[in-house]
Amino acid sequence: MLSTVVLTVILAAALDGRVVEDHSGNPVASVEVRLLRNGAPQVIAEFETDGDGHFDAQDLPAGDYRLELSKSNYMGVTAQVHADSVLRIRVLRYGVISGQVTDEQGQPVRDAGVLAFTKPAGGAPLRQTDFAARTDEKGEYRLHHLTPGEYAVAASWGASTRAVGTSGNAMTDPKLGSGFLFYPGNTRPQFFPVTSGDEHRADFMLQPAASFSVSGKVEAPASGDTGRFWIALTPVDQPALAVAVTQAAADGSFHFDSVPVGSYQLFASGPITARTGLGGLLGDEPLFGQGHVDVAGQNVEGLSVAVDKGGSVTFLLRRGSACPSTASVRLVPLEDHGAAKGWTAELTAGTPRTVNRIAPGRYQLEVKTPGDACYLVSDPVVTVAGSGTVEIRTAPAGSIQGRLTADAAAVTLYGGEDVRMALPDADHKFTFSGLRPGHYRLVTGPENKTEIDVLAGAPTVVELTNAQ
Amino acid sequence: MHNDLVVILLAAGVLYAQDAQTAQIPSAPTGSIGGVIQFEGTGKPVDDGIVVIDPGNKRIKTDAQGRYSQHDLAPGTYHISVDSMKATSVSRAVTLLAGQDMTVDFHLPAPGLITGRIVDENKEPIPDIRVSLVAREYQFGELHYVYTEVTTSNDKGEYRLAPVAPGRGYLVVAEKRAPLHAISDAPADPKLRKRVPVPTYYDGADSAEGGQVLVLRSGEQREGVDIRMLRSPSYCLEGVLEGANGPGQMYFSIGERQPAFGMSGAGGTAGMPPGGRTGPDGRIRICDLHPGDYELTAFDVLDSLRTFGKASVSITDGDVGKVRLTAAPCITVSGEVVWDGRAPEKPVQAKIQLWVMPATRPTFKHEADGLFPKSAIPGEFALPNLPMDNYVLRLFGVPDDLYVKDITYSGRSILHKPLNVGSAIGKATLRIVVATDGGVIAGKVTDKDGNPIPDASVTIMPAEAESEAILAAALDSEPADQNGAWSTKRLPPGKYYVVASSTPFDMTPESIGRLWQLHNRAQEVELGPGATVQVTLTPME
Repeated sequence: MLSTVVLTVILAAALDGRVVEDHSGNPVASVEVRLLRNGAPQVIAEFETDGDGHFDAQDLPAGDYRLELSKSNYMGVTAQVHADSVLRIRVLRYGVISGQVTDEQGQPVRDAGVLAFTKPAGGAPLRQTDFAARTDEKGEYRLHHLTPGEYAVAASWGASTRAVGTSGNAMTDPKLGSGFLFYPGNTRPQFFPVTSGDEHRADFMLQPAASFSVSGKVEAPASGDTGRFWIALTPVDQPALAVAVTQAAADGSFHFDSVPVGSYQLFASGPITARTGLGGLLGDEPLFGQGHVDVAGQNVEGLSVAVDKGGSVTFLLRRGSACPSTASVRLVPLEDHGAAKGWTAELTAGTPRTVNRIAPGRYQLEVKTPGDACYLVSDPVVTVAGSGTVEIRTAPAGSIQGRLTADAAAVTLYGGEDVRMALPDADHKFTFSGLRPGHYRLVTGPENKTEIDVLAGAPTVVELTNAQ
Repeated sequence: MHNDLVVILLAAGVLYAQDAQTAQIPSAPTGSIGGVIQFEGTGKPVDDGIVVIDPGNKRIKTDAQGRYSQHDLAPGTYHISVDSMKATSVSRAVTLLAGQDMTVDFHLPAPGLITGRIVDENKEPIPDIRVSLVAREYQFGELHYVYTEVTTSNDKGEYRLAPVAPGRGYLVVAEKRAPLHAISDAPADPKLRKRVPVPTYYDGADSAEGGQVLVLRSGEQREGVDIRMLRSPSYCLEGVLEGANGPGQMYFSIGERQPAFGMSGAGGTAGMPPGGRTGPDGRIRICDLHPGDYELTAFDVLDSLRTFGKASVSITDGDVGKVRLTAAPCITVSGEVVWDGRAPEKPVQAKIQLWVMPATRPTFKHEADGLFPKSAIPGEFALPNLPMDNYVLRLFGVPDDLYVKDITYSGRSILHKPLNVGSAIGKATLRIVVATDGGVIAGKVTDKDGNPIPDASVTIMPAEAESEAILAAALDSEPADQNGAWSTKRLPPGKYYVVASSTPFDMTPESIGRLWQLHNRAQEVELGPGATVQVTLTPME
């Protein structure tokens, strides 16, 4: 049998890559690698790294390609490459905080929530993150998807917002009641600096505390609405977590079983339409109530909580010179109300914008301007009570434009509101924008730190090389 | 795009509160039933127990010490069942005399725990793998594999599955669940795609049939149930989803036919398999699929469900193209409750309550509004806005002197089967046929010397059941009380096999297989219309 063989000669190029762990330099096996041609939507080929972290692609037309790398436990990486390259790609492993929650006798406490908090700038209250875990029957937990940053951790047990939000109600162990504990203590939470591949340990021992019941009634205006009110008791000195949350009955009456001695802010919110791990979700026309409760040596009964439409804030954008005429603002509660609703507004310079029906309390303002050109210079923390006006003043932000030639996968920036991270492109360039002018620290490894002053306006240029 | 939505369900009986049927006789002095519920072995109290006493549907929560009590009970026979999230449900029958205060304690088997690691071919841990406990049991005349507990492996590949009901056979399966895109960007040539993990059953099987059945003892912690995930070539499924007006933007989901979400005797889960939403052209190119039998679902929701369609798709050794799935509008199923033959002279006051639930998925918004209709006997009812999907049908409130002889849908019997809404030929009518000529089998469980044996279980098997699967669907079981006495509800006239055993049979293949073996040693009963047949049984095991 005869056959015809047609040979097409093309300029064949090849890619040869190796994936290693950023912090250890060890090869990473079973990384999924997707190869895409720049400008084309469909993947050309998929590979996986072998036990030596190695992958290769042969017979590629010459040109520019994009590689997408992914593997569980590691942050995803996208790299721009030219065909006929030999690549060494570093990947960052997520950090881990793990430990055990026990009672005074060393017995494991199961189903406790463990939550990570970020360190705020300028002494503002702690802010909860999405990183959360639950203890198993050995009392053990693992927070294992932590992106680089600084974290405090707290264990919460009993009728926490997360437990009540997840299940609708919560079993409280009469010996432990409800509460939370930051590691190593509530007065001075420790911050763990988490970088690639770090594993920290934080064990909690819960002490039994005298606890009392708190009960009362929400005096809701008759509306015929069947949604329930949610009540949260939040310590005055550590408002980031409620000590206990409960759902009021249909008639508004509520009861907490075991509240430790302390001074609390009581938040009532409702009607609730659904619930999540963040607590009850508020409907379109929420009502709010607030009060102060001191629990000291006896049960508290007969509380009466009046509710109303809450506060309103009128925002006025005062833009700095050369700043965009629009901005978006989001109100992030600094106290755990046991209930959630997003309050946001799109602002235009010179036009007042009012946001209504906000739960009274303290909020952090998150302001974003187009292109990250400017930052918020006015006070980022507001207290909502009644109605008021808040000026959002912006000013030109600073930025960092750098080149990373050091042997590292990423650059981490400390000193801002949040810890931020950038991955350099194929030409080793990286950018941080929208920065408040000030002093920052750029970190590329345990021994590699660069201090830098960022000014408003023109970008601050930096070259990061290996430390000598 | 949505990931799996998983909801843990309790046993169906807990979901629906039965109509009150009180057995009160005003003149007789009332009594009480109470006791303590503890875990077998440890003796720790079951503090989240819910005790249900029937008739009367009295529901009592246990306190922190596991105690419960119910007063003002008229003399009679009561069924007491105990449910707890931390233990395996149990039930018993007791006969209460006038004015008697009876103590009925329960020792519930403590649930077990299964732990292990998920690794790849290089023995590297695989995080974020969905690991499930799968119950195997006969349902509607077929063997079903049902997810009962679901967890996810952590960053070290470790998982823990709990609670595991002791004494029942389970499989453990590891599956990779990644978000799906309506139009995947996977390479066109299957050879250039990465190999995908396939559902892998402990201990290394690629099918449920090959999986190792694990049976735990009360409170057992089974460690080292490690699974090395198998992989296969990756294939794509291409096609178009259509609504009422041709191709259009549709939601879709795709999952393997087995295991499925749903109910089992050991609890269950409701969920939607992975899925997403198409663009306005209705096109799909779903990739990263391993060879297997799938069910593809297309639906359109606007406030409530509008159209729904399902198709079976098999992938063997290549991409599957040109799939066209049309979602049909929902329909209203009309129903009627009718007499078998002549109606009794005295009208029946009671109403039958229907409980209709999607067999595998959670309900859509507003779907449940119409799924619990009531009907007089005889009478009419309607099930509005039903998609072409499978539903589980249960009936409550059938009076004690009647029995349900048949249920037909569009003229065909669906007794012991699911309601397949799309199977209607012609008019979609659900007919429930109620009969008055039922008989009762009753008796005692004793030892060889005739001494009563308390708390045994009696299983009644229709003789016409010709396979284990059909036997499982048609059998009836009754607990004997503290004096060994038991009685069935009204049963259709016919031939039955009756056996007593120390513990009840469940719907697992092992249990039904044992029962099938007992067939020829069982007592044969010929039940005539309206008859009551007395039988004395000695437990088989």
